[in-house]
Amino acid sequence: MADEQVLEARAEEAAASASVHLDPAMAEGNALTQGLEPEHASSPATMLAHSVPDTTVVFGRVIPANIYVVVFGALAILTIIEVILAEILPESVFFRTPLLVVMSLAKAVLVMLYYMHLKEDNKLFAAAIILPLLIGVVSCMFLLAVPSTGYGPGR
Amino acid sequence: MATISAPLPGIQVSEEGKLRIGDYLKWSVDHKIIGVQYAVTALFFFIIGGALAMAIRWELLTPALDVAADGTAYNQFFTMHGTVMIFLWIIPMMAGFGNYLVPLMLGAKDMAFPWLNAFAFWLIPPAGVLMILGYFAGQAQAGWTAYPPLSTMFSDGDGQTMWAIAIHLLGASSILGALNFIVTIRNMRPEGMGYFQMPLFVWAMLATSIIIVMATPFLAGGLTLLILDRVAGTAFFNPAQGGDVLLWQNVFWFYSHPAVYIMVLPGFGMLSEVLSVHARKNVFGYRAIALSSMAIALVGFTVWAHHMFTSLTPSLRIPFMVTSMIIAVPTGIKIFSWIGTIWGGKIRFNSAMLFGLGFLSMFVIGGISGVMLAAVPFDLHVHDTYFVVSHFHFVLYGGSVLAIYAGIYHWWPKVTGTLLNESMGKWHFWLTYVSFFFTFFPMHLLGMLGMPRRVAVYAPEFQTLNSIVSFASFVLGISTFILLYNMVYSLIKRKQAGPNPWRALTLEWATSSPPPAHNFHGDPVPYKNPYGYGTEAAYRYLEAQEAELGKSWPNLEEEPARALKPSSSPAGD
Amino acid sequence: MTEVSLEKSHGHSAADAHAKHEALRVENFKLGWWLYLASEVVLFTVLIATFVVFRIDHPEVVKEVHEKAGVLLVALNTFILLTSSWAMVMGLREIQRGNVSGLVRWIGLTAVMGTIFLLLQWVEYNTLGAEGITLQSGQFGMRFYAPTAFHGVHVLIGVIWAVWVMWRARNGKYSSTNYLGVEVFGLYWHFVDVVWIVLFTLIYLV
Ligand code: HEM
Ligand SMILES: [Cu+2]
Repeated sequence: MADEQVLEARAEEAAASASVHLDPAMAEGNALTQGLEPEHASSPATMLAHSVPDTTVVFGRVIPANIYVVVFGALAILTIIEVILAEILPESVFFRTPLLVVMSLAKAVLVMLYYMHLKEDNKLFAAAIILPLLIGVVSCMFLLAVPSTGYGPGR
Repeated sequence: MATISAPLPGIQVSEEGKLRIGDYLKWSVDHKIIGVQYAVTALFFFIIGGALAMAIRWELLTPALDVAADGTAYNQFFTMHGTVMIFLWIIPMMAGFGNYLVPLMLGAKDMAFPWLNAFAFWLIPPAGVLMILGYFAGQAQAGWTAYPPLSTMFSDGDGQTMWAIAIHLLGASSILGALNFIVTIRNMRPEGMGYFQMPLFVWAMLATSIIIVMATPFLAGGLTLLILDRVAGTAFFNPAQGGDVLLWQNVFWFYSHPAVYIMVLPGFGMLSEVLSVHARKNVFGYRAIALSSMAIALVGFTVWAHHMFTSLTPSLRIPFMVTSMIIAVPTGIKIFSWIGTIWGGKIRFNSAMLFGLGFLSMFVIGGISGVMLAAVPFDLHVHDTYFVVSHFHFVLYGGSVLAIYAGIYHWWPKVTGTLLNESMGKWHFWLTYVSFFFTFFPMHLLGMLGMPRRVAVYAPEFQTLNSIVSFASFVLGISTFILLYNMVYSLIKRKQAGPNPWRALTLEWATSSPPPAHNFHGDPVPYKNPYGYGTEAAYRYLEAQEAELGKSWPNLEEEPARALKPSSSPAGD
Repeated sequence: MTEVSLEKSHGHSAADAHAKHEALRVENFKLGWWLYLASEVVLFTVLIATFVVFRIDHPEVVKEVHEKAGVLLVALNTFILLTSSWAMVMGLREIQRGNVSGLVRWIGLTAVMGTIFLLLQWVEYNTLGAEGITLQSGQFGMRFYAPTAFHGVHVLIGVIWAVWVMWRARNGKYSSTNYLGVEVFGLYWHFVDVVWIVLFTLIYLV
């Protein structure tokens, strides 16, 4: 029956939101924490704790460092490349601006995915941040399209 | 079962659970108290805004300058009138309804962030006071749209700066309130209530809140620049020093077009509730109504430049005309769904329903004149004339305000536990309805004849129509006091309403009136379809509810529907 | 199947309810905070857009300033902010493992980096001011200072918040099961970092 399905869906949703932190692969390291907070120790809330393993899988290869360090490295390298490109590429090269913008967006995405945990957290959070970005970008494009300084000189 | 929420800290309810007036004057985190605080504050500002409207109309009674000392004084009148009505009356009032009703309709004990909720409310009174104090510093006079250079070079008084700061505060309040609604609606629904079992008012608040979170910061950004221009010597809006004057118009309307939906969508939600309950019929097209709110919320971001047809690059006019017309479609879907809802219903013509029907009829006129304005060739003629004034009063007064009235008559028994006097309600309705029409309809004609808006002195040939408008508006002003009197009267008379006087199915009625501090006695069980009226099952549900909570006035002897409809289908299907 | 029931369903123990309540609280806070950040995105968009539009209309003015000011100082500042963001997430990781002193150390680094960022930004403003580029100098100045200073204010708030988080951590307010406060601060700080990443490219590089 339709309403049973709805109930089920709702239950699943509840379970999903509750289990955000319950990834068993991440639960190692809990041993360290047992008993720190006695009033929580007995409750399933203890399971909320998770920590990040010290190896990282990137493109199927295991990298022996933790993901945060890897991401930091990537950010740093991207920034250096960006600065160098900005300095050496002459203004006239057509892909200069798009390239730089894409690189900075890549960095922003890296931070959001890994540092802000959008990768494993609720997808709704991602939606919440993408929607205003879209609206913002669209409205920027519009501002660019209008001769906003009026129709006089300088345009 | 259902939602678990924290025991509410800091609420002191006396033994009998009765709230005293003092409880409403201080900081409280109970959403019901906050809801009432919003509503009372908003009503207070409605009276101020209304008094200013009377001043405007008195001034316009004759072509000459008679009430306002000079043009500037008149500019201040309509600027304050518009700003107060929008930012201090409609938006807070809708937030008030939302605060009171959303947690109750979801069977929750409170909003997701009670403290934040209180904080958002308490930003409003200081902002209102700040705005009004501007009177002593050279009141704002650039209209509610505050276009530069009117709001920069031609407003020397500090009032305009205070105005901007006040709007900033109100915007912040509105954003904080909205994200609270979104989180509450998403996370605190009871078990068994999916998105498509939510009452339509909750859907409307969800759509409204999404708009608020995405759109209000545009205004905040614009105001920041405006304030910088006014106090820090920048020139963002001054082309002479390399700024651009259209930037404000763009940013302002990025916000303010979506904002018209902020003002009217909650009204739509209330209308869906009121029509269905009092027509004793299932809502027609539940999904269509729910999803069209979302469609409006999104498409609403793509139409703003229809306010700028006269200042826009001509090549962009057609695209914005097209989007503006597209957005009329989801609104039309709603209108037809509402007509379908009342069609063939067992309508009770009480005050709430009358105002609901009043909304329906007047909003259609406002909607049609809106589509007319979206047509570029027509708009170029009537832009900045009384046609526009007429249009937005049909949607704001005929839409939002009549919806608020309907909502007040509908939920007053829940909030106070007492009934409003019906015959006074009917007087209120008919006086308002007729005088509203004669106040605002002739403005269409004035506009098409070429009378500009925002003028204190006009050509003598407009005298007749303006006098009609002014006299009607005085009646309209007076009719409002019937409602205020009715409220006071009902609080003194205390004719008990009981838990569910309208025999409605949504959860806010499944508790005593007014609800106890924790909202429900135990965990309420939502009926599958919040609008499943006229079925045997709904009748039994209400009977069981009455057995549990006690009888209600007017104790309607309602017949169980004989034909056993497939009543168990949830609203969404 | 019963159509109607006003009965409560049974079978939830108190501990169960508590855990669920806790999970709900976490979910609520995070969603609410993300929505707040969403609204900040829009606010920053307005400010940055004023610059971007100007950049496209008057590339020559922007280029001239870039040549005068050079990119070294801000590049350094970008690194500092990136590092602070990394320190932030390491701090979160420590508290997830229950290591409070680790948390304090990393967040301390975050706060220090934030402070250095602000100092360098101040230096930068002073040099630009000496070149005659001020908030009131029209054209470039206002469009440059408004977004960057607004971002700076966010960093400042972040630094204060970081100190507060450290203070609370010292008082044992966080543990491996209860680190929502750290997480929410982290979201804020990374957000400020993301804004800078975009600002840096759009204002200083492009
Ligand atoms: C008794 C009821 C009302 C009357 C008689 C009335 C009358 C007027 C008039 C004549 C104007 C035009 C002033 C001018 O352009 O010279 C005006 C402007 C305006 N009104 Fe009303 N009004 C009433 C209620 C409302 C309500 C309930 C709202 C909003 C919810 C509202 C919102 C506005 C706004 C936004 C403006 C534009 C102000 C501006 O030009 O900046 N009014 N009103
Ligand atoms: Cu519009």
